[in-house]
Amino acid sequence: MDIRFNGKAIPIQEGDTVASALYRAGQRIFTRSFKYHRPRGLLCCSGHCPNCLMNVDGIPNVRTCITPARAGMAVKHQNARPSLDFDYLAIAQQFDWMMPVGWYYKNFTNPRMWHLAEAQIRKVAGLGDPPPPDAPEAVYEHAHMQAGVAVIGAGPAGLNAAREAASQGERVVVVDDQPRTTPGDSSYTLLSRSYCFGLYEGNLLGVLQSEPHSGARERLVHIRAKRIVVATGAYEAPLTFKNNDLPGIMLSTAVWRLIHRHGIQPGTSAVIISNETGDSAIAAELRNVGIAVVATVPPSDVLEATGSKHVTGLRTRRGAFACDLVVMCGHRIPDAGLLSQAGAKLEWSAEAGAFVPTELPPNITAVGDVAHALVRAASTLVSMPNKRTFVCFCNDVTSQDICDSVAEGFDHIELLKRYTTTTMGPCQGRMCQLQAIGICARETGRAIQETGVTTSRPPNPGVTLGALGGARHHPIRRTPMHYQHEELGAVWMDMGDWKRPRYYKSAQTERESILREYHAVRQAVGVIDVSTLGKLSLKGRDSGKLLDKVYTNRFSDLKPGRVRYAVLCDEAGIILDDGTISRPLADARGYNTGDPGGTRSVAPSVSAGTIDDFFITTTTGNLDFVEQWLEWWLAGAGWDVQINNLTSALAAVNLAGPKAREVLSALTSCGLSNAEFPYMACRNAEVAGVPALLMRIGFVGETGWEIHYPAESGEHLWSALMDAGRPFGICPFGVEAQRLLRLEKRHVIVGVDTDALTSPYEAGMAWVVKHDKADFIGKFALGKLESAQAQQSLVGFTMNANQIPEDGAAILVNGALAGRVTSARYSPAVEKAIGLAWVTAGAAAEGAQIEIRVAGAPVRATVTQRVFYDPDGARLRM
Amino acid sequence: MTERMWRPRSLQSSYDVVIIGAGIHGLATAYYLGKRHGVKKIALLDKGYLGSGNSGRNTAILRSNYRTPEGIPFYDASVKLYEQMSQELGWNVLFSQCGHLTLAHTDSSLIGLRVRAENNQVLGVDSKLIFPDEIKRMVPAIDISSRARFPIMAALYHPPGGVIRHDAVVWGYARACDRMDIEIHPYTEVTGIRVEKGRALCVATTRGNVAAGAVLNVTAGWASTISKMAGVPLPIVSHQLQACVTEPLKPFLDKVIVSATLHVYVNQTDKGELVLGAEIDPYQSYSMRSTLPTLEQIAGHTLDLFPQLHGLRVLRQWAGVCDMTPDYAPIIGRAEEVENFYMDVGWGTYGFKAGPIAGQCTAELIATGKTPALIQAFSPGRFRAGRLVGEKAAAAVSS
Amino acid sequence: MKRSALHRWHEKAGATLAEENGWYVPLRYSNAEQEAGAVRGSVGICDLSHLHEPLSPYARFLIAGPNTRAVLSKLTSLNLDLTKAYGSVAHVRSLVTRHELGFLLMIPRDYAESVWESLLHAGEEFHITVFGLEASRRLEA
Repeated sequence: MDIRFNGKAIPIQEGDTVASALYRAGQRIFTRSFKYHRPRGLLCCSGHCPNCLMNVDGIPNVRTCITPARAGMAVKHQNARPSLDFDYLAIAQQFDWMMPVGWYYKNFTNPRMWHLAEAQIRKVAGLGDPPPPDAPEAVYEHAHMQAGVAVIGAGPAGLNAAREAASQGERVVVVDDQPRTTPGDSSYTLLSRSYCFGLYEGNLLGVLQSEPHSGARERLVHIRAKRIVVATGAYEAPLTFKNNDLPGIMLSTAVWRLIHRHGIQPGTSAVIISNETGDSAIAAELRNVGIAVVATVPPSDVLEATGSKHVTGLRTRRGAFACDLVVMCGHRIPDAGLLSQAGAKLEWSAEAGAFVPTELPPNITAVGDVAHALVRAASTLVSMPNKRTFVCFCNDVTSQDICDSVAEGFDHIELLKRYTTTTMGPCQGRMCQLQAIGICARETGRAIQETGVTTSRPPNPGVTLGALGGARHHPIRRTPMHYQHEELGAVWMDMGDWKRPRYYKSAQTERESILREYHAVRQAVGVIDVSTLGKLSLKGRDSGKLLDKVYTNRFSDLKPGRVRYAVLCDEAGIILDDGTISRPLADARGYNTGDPGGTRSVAPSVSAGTIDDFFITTTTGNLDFVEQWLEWWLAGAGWDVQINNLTSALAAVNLAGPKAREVLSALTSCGLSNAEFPYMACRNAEVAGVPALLMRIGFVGETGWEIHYPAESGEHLWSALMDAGRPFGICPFGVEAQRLLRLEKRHVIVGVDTDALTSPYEAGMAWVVKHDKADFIGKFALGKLESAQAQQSLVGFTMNANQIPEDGAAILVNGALAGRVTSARYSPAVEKAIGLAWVTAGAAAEGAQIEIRVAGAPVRATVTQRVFYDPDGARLRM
Repeated sequence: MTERMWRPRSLQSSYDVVIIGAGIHGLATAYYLGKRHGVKKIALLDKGYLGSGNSGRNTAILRSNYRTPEGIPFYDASVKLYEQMSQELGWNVLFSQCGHLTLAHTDSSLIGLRVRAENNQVLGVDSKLIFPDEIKRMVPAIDISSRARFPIMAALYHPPGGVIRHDAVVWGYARACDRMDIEIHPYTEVTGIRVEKGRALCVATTRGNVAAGAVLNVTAGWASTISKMAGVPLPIVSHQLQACVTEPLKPFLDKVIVSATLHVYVNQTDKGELVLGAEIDPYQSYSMRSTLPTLEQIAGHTLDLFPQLHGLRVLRQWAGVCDMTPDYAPIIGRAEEVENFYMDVGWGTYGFKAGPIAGQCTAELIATGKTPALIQAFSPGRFRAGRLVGEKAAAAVSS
Repeated sequence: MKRSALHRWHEKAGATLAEENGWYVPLRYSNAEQEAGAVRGSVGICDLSHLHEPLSPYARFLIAGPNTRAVLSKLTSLNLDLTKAYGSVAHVRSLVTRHELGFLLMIPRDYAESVWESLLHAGEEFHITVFGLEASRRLEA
């Protein structure tokens, strides 16, 4: 049973942490410090300080003192080259005079010098090495719990509180950072090896659980609790004296842990620094395991520690003592971060020598050491300025640095923190904050209470990105015909969560495949899956009123069996969405349903109600918005309208092309002639035995039908269309072909050709705004925009066929920026490059000459307002 | 003897200009008033410590690759002032012009980036589209594979963009102001503004009243509150913007990475920490309490770009309040209602980037009464006149 | 024949499909008795989308077995003590209702496969099983 440390086998014992195994094997230097690369050894043994950070199994900055050792683990040191014992960069200590606090602000004010210096700084900065891009991923997960009472900390006070709450019938969850040792008490749920890193609004606790089961590295548990008991206790922070960072100088709690948890004798002769006079408890512990206690001295008597890579002695006002272990009975600091995040105040208690939480918010209590801090201050907080007295172990900030900063004017604790970076390292202030406050208070002559603490921010302790991200399954939205598209060779594109076929790979190149689909639609027949369109049904007497209010066009007068184009604007007259609104014929009243018997209930439900029903389609991306927008304007109006979102319930296809009628007529008894089913009409009918709503509309510019039908028949109807269409050369087409087809028709796509500032007037769609309606959203603004001179207009353009600009290309007039291309393609119908573009008002006239950048060079183009293909729409009405 | 950065002062009874808010915009305005226009009887008032507002809460990303003909030259001028700042102030603001990449993972964001690249190039800002292979060469740590839910399609590469030490900018300006005897008064909260006959006469503070020749509201998060004191309504709503920082790693990422689709931005400081930011919270809020769902989103999206960082720990999360105007562009100018009341507010998520140039322009406006061309599009009157600025179209994620 | 959103998934998983009320339904994936046993011993999921009102936007899953809550709590913050709750399940807005064997999940049809996969992934630690209608009838008996 062993782990490998820098490739060398290190035996491990039951209950070992990585650090305890290494310490037992004789390792004393665990890392090198951030700035000066001083040797650092075990200090806290409780996961607080930065002194034991190593790379474990490829993950940098792991706190080895709380990481259970497991056979086969690969452990590597970090921030020392070539080795922990000999680190080149330790030379930095010789140049500390060059690097006082804030030195980088005061040097390299020449940008070129800074550029060079920064490159050097970046070579040596940081702690652990970043994992390589191909590093193995790990499993993380989230979980959620509801609790009556959540207790943070399973010490005696926490367990008491837990049992008491449980006895009152509460559902209790206890969070504790230690491994489960005993079978425990079944009256509460214990999350062991877990810590709470944040207390958020609504009594939400963020809890990080290590290895919740063999298949996951970490689990983030979200606990919603009615009541929270914080029993986090107190932790110990180091004392400040010269060379207080040498390996072999440890907190008393760390020494206790090494002895009791790991059976390690952490030295042979020890000096104890403690305010306790007489024989302290820790002294007895040391003697029990055979360590000689050379002396016990109060902190105020300590002058400096001696040694270079390990402590060899302590110089004090009472004389010098040789030793290989210095035990600091440090400050006992209530672990009140969670309480402070919850809004509690931290008040300095001189008697306790600590900031204690007061004014706890309702439903949050504190028990045990975190609340009472009945521990006595280890020492006075005073430490004289010295360049080897370390306040912040993470970033190598010394007492000299703190004093200098205050003298420079950084005398507010937050400024001091930002200037010196004290409290901003991996220990998150646990080791250094109290000392920094003490020195700041002394140097400014202010009281400690007035000096105050820095804001406690979650997460504290830190949490991995993996745990926060959780099981990262991005939802995928598939249409009912998804796998049919896949079988047809679909090349996918993402639209929000949706997957849509960009095109079907039917030829060598993307371009050829798209052209093939294009020609099928123009010359024969094509079919496209448009299930991603938003689909809403409106029922109720006042549906027309709501539509008149929300859309710019009028719908209350829409005749049953008709479809109308619809545009939605906000109060400022900006286009938010577009689509169609149909008013299906109601089969119940004997309108044409294509079902001669009239007995079958014909879904979709858009057909099942009364003639007050409307069926709305929205763009793929805006469904949620439109639904909320309608609900918002309906709320409080007192109208009889029910909005039903049918998007997921319905599949939809668009069948288009000169042969569309022939294909469809093979599958339905519904009359499809121009007389029976004219352009912009809608009908309920069965298609291939499936009840459907058919609309005769023409986004791509050919005779065609948009067919909405129940999703569970998605594959069936698609197959039927493909089968019926085969003799006519039917071709499925994707988004790219659709975009080209509609561009030739100059149809605008909201969000592609419009942006967050486009009004219908600028987009050339003045006809969709009906100002004679009593009131509608955006009426006031649109009224002003109608009469105002538009600053820019959406126009068409043509240019030489071998110069096709990219979507987004800039437009120039007389060399000055004058607009942008929104969509441009080669048009087989015109045999030129065509497109839509925003241009400034002056360049919008028919025939105006503009320049469009193609690959960075301006190319001439001609503005046109005309439709490129079938301008009279004859083909739609064929 | 150590030199103090700025000196504590007693509040006097009258100033030529009272600036409410001693963040980067207020300090820059004071600095340029003093340096370029000789106005020195200035008081900068702040309710907290120096730089305690958004100046110290932003992610300190600088760039000029905006979308509109109004935005591009304005931010370009700001970046140029930042480039000279260390030398001008004799104080290194740690401007790292490491280059800035805005990633596109969808067709529509790709087109949005192309519009910016095109407009930038026409207007002389260094910015271009690059594609996955080149992105990978520039940022070897990034995942360009197709296993991602939204693979990277392209990026807008903007070499002059980068990051700066935001606090250093505040401190550098403060020191320079102090040297001109411009007074900085932290812990001095404004409680009221007395307006008579269309003129702001006096500013009431927790430390007493001061008479003012001109008053400048240059606050963030509380801009509407302060302007309302002078009877000037502002069309601003406030949203939270959250960010977080991780433990340090050895530097491996020397570009600023922003993803418009994933709503996240990432850069690595000279200390090795990753600074990660989110998009603005979707709901209106003045709270500065950070939330767990936002942190989880930031983390998840960061891992979409850098999956290998799963074991890296986040150390701190914080929030700033962003004042959003209807068109996402700022409001700079003299209030229509009060003749000596000026505003430089509504900066949304762009405030820090604009600090120096906004200060320079506002100083010129206050000192000369003339509105510099660069800020004409941002006048307070534009909402009434319906002349909105088009940055909203490009503002999904705004770092 | 009507197809559930998971039709292709069932096919790929080797399910024995049969017709019921005009729908294809998965009867079993391997052995109904084993599937029922696995559910009783831990947790399983079953596609009940055919029990469906006309024009429902939802696919319908049953999750059953003693580890049901443990699996669900990994994917949703909804309070599972309620008899009915609406909210995010595996990042998808869904309806969760109590069922005599566990919980019924109503998932927007387009997201059904995505959520199904997430359930299977979350259930890995409990050796989650998929079960067909035969097993579900045995469990109900």
